[in-house]
Amino acid sequence: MNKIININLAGRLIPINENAYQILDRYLSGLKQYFSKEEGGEEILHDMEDRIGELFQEKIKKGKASIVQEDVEAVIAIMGSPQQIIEETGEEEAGNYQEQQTADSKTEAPKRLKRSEKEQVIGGVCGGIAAHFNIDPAIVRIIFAFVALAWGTGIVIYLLLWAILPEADEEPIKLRRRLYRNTDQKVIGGVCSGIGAYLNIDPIWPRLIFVLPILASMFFGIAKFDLLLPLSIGGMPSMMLLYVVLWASLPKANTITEKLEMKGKKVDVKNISDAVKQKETTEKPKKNNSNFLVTLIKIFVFFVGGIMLLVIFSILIALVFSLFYATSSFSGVNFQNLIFDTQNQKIILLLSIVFLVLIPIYGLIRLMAYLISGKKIKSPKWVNFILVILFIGSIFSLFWVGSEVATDFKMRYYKKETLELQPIQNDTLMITHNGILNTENEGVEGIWQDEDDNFFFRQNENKDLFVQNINLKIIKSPDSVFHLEIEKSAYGKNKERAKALTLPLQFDFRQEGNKIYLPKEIQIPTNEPFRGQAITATIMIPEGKVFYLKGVTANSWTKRSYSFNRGNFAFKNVRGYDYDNESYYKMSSSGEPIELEDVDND
Amino acid sequence: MNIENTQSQMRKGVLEFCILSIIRQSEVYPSEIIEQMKGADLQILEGTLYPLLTRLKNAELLSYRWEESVSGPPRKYFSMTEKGEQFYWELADTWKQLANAVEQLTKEKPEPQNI
Repeated sequence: MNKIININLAGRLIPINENAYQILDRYLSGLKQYFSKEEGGEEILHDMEDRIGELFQEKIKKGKASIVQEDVEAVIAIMGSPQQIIEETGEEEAGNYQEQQTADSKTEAPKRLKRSEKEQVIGGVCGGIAAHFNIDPAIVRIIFAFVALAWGTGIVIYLLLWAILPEADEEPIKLRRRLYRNTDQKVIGGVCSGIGAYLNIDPIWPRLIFVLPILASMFFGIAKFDLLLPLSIGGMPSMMLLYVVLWASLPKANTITEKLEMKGKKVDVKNISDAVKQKETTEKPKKNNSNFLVTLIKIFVFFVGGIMLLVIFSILIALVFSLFYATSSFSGVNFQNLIFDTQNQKIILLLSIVFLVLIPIYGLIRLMAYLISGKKIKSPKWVNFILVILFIGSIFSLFWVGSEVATDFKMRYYKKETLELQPIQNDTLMITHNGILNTENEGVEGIWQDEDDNFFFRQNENKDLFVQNINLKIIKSPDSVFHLEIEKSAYGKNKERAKALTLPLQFDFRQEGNKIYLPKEIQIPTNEPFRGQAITATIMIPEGKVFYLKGVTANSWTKRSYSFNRGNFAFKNVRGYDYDNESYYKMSSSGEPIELEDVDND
Repeated sequence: MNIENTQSQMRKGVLEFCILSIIRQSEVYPSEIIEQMKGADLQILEGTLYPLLTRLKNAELLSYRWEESVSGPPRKYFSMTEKGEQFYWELADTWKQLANAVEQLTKEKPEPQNI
C-alpha cells in the first residue's frame, strides 16, 4: 500500500507517492543545507523547486497518475546531487568554507571563562561553561538542574557565577557535537539513542543504564541481597524523572545538519550529501508521532511495565525454586519418588514444569531485549506456535498428573494386628526405639514442614524409602496384662489398591525382658509410591502399672491424615498426648497416666 | 587524477560564458537555457544552472522579470544588464584567445620527417 500525497512545488500541485516524497524531501533539504549559507540561497532553492515541479508536471501530462520513486530519482539525476552541484558551481565557496573550518580549529587561543550571550536561557552561565569546555550547553544545564535539586546548591553556584563572570561577546559556539534526541531510532522518546549517538556508542548502553534499577532490583530481589535492593528500587523513579527531564530539555534532531551534529560529523557538503544518499537508499520512512502526551504516557507505561515485568519475573523465579524443591529435592530426598506412581508421571510432570516456567521466561527475556535494543527479535512462526502448544499442553498434563495422584488418595484401608508380648517382670514397661534406626547418617533425610509439625522421611543408598509415620498411643489395658496392638493403613484409588499398599508394611518390633523396642520409621516397599502409609501402635498398660519412655521422638505422638488437593500434597496432624522422655508414668483407673516424680527405680 | 573532475572543471569555466551568451541573444527563462544547451550538445546538470543564475543576478550582470505562463506558475525571464554586457565582452575576448590557443596546441602536427 502506498499513500499518495499532494504537494505544492513552487506553485505546482503535484500528486506524489509517499516514498517518492520522502526522497524528494531529503534531496531538497540536502540542497537547502548548502545553499542556506549563500546569499540568495532561498531564491536558488525556489528556482530549483520550480524546475523540478516543471519536470514532474511534464511526466503527469504524459499520463502518469502520480510521481513515483523512479521519477524522483530521474529528476535528481538530471539536477545532480548536492555534492555534484557544489563541485560544478562553487569551488571558491567550498574551498573558503573548508579553510574557515581549519582556521577555526587552529586558532584556539587561551580562553577565559565567560558568560555566553547567545546560548542564554537565564544568565548565560551554562552556555559560557559549555563554550569554555566545548561541550553541549544542554549537558551543563542538566548537571546544574540536578545540583539545584540538592538543597538548592546549584542555584547558589549559578548566581555566584552569574555575578563573577564577565559577559562575553564571543562568536557562536562551534560545536563538534550536540546532544539531541534521535527520533529515528527511538523506543520511547529517542533520548537514549541520542545519547548513544553523542557518545558514539550503541544506544543499548544508555538504555541499559536507564533500566538498570529495574534489572538490579530483579537481581538483588532474586539474590535476596537486602542492602542494595531498596537502593535499586529507589532508583526507578529517579531514572524515570531523569528521562522526562532529558526528553523535555533536549531538542529533537530534525534536519540533516542536526543529525550530523548529533553524531559529531562535520557539517559540510560531503557529509550532507552522503547522509541524503544513505537515507535514500537504506532508511525506510518511519512514523514519528511524538506528541507530548503520548510520549509522557509511553515513559510511564515503560516504567510501570518494567516494574510489572520485574514482579512477574521474580514470581517465576520463585516458582522455579519452589518447584525444584517440591519435585526434585526435598532437602536431599527425591520427593517425586514419594508421590508419583509411574515413571511416566514423573517425566510428564517434570517436562510440564520446565515448559511452564521456561516459556514465560523466554517471552519476558525477548520482550526486555526488544525494549532495550529497540529491535524486534525475529523468530520463525513455527517456533512461537510450538511454544504456545507446549505451554497449553503443559498446563493440561500438570492437571492430569495432579488428578491421577489425587484420586489415589481417595480410599484408606486399615488393618489391625495384635502383637504378642512376653510377660513384663517388674511392673514397669520400658519403651524405646530400635537401635538401628537411631543411626542418623544412614541415607539422606528429608523433612516436609508443616505449620506445627514436621514429617520426616529418609532414603538410603539402595533408594529404599523410610517414613517416620508411626503414631504411638498409650491407653489403659482392659485386663491386667500389657498389650501391643498396631493398625496399618494406606491410601489408594480403590480398596484393593489401598489394601495392596497396606499389607506389606512391616513393624520391626522386639522385646528384651521388660524393654520393648519400637521402630521409628516404616519402610515403603521399593517401587511403590507414598500413599500415606502409616502405623498406629497402641500400647495398653494395665491399671497401676508403670511405663517409662526413653528416646521416643516427639514425632511419634502425632497422627496424620493425607490428601492431595488441587496439586498440593497436604497432611493434617492430630497431636496425641506428648509424654516426656525419661519419666515414669503410672496408669490410673481413669485411663489417664500420672507422672511419678519421686520414684527411683534404678 | 580523476577524469570526471577535470571534465567538470573544464565545463565550469565556460558555463557562465555560455549562459551569458544565450541570455544576450534573447530574453529567456531557465528551462529554455537548458533546452538550448542540450540542443548544442552541452551536457550539464540542471542543478548547477540555478546557483549560477542567482549569483550572476546578485552580481548585477543579469536582471529578470516575472511573466505569466500558460502552463504553470509565472516564469523568471532573464535579460542582460549593461554591466553584464561589458562582462560578456571581456569573457568573449578571453574565450577567443583561449579557443585559439587550445586549437593550436591540440592540432595534430604533421610528424617530423626524417630524411
